[in-house]
Amino acid sequence: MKTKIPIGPYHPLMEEPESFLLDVDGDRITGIDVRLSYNHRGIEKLSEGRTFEQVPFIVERICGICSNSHPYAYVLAFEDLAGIQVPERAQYIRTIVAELERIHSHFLWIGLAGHFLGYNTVFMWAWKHREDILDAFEAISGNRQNYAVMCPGGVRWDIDDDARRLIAEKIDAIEPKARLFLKAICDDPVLHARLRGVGVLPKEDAIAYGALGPTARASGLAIDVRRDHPYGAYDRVEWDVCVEGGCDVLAKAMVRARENIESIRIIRQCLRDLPPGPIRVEPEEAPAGEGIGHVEAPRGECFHYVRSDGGNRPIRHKVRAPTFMNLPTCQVTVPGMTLADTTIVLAAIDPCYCCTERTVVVRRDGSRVGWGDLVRLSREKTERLCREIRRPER
Amino acid sequence: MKKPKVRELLEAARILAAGPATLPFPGAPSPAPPKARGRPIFHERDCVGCGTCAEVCVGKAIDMRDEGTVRRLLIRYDSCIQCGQCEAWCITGKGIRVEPEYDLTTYDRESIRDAVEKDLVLCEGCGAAIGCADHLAWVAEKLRTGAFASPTLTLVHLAKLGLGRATGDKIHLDGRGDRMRVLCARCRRPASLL
Repeated sequence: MKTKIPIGPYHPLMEEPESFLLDVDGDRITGIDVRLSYNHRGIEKLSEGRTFEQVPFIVERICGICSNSHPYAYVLAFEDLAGIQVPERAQYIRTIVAELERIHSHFLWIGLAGHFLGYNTVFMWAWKHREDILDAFEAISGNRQNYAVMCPGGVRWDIDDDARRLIAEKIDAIEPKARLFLKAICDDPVLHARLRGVGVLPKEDAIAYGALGPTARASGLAIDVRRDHPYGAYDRVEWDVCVEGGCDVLAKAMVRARENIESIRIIRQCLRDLPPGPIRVEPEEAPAGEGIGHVEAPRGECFHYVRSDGGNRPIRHKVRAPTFMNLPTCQVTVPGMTLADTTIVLAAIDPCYCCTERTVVVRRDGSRVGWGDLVRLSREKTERLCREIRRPER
Repeated sequence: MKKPKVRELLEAARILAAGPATLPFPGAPSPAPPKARGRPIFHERDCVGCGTCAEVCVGKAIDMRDEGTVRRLLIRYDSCIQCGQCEAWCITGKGIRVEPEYDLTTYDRESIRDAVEKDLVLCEGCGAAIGCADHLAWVAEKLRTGAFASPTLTLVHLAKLGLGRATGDKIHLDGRGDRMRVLCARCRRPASLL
């Protein structure tokens, strides 16, 4: 029986609301139609009405999970425009915050992936350990989210000795957990049965679709803005770009789990080398001109463009979030999968799942299937695999 | 197959021994960390009514309105994004302060407001608002002797100290004799030139 399953359009699976139209033949997906640009938030226009100083607070609220990447890209764009040299200490603090954010975002993804696969324990554990990182953010900025660390010309909050000690403690506490998840992904047979060969994005397709971040690195593409166009203190610390050649969801999970370890390494070095000095230079007037800034957000490259006519407000501000580039890869990864695998394949690019509960699927016979049903199907498949894998041992 | 289960069982045992990680909030209070930015509150004594907070407010949550002889600054917490810019830019540094209170859940938007009212100084020539009395006195104190260059600042400051008269009856501007009056910039021009 051929069925069309619409997910969306008023179903923002991602940071940008979009629509998936799944063509289903029996249990197998034969095609997917991805549509974007349903919900206009007007962030770019809003920021054109604010001063350069105020814009970070607006762009910080684009994404609830990586609320540091957008302001970081914006301040880089502004500093490019105004030709500001940021103090060394500020560069290190920026790097620490960006990496802390990467850890908490990847832990969040690992938790969600576990949730979709039916491993609710993983969900609980990952989100519990993520709290340690959020505590570190509280110590730096006072807030768990929307830290307001970035400001044009430097950072708003300093990392004092107490905060430094606390961050070091939290990092020490989370490292064994990050390694636990990495090992679990490496050798758990059920995870392998569930994720290996699922949602394959071949390298050529990753290039053709312009995939970014962990999505691209899982397909063997060694791209990372932190290494290719160093900003912050990334060129002063030792770290590796995590690349996997598996191209499937397992590789994406591996990249994220390994990046956690790399982030911990970067933060340790930054805390050790944190130079003294000012944390901010007061920006002078912004000249007429344009600037670009891009950072490696947890999901990939986040890009901001700012143009000024010499006044105190941007006359054009363009934002490109990483999910915008990663989402179309579903065209390649989803067809051929079973309905039970759809959830994890769509989740593998790490989209924003804030509004998933609104999914309604209408079958041709009139019965309705929701996102919850897809998650249930996914969990049932894991249970079935668990049973199948245990059987030969008995 | 055996090994990963042992590792995860160990972790599970550790977590079981540590007890629940969740907080009983909202059953029990969950105090905010010392640096937390919650809602900003006006402090009438230290606020001079300059309106800087309304100017820098990112969410445009602070509304400044002049009504008669009173300036009213109103903050709407439903629009406030709790960024703390108002406190950071407050010219006295204490007029509006961010409190760690973050739980503002309510059914009634009107109940989450804070306001401060400040007396305005009106121009004796045309009746236009010049600024808040506290603000002008604050500027005069900042300028010290420099404030004597502006009769408006001096007169308002002296009135604050109880040494003179700040606002009087409306006058007809008819010459330099009116220079020692509280005047707006537009009225000061004829008073100085005629």
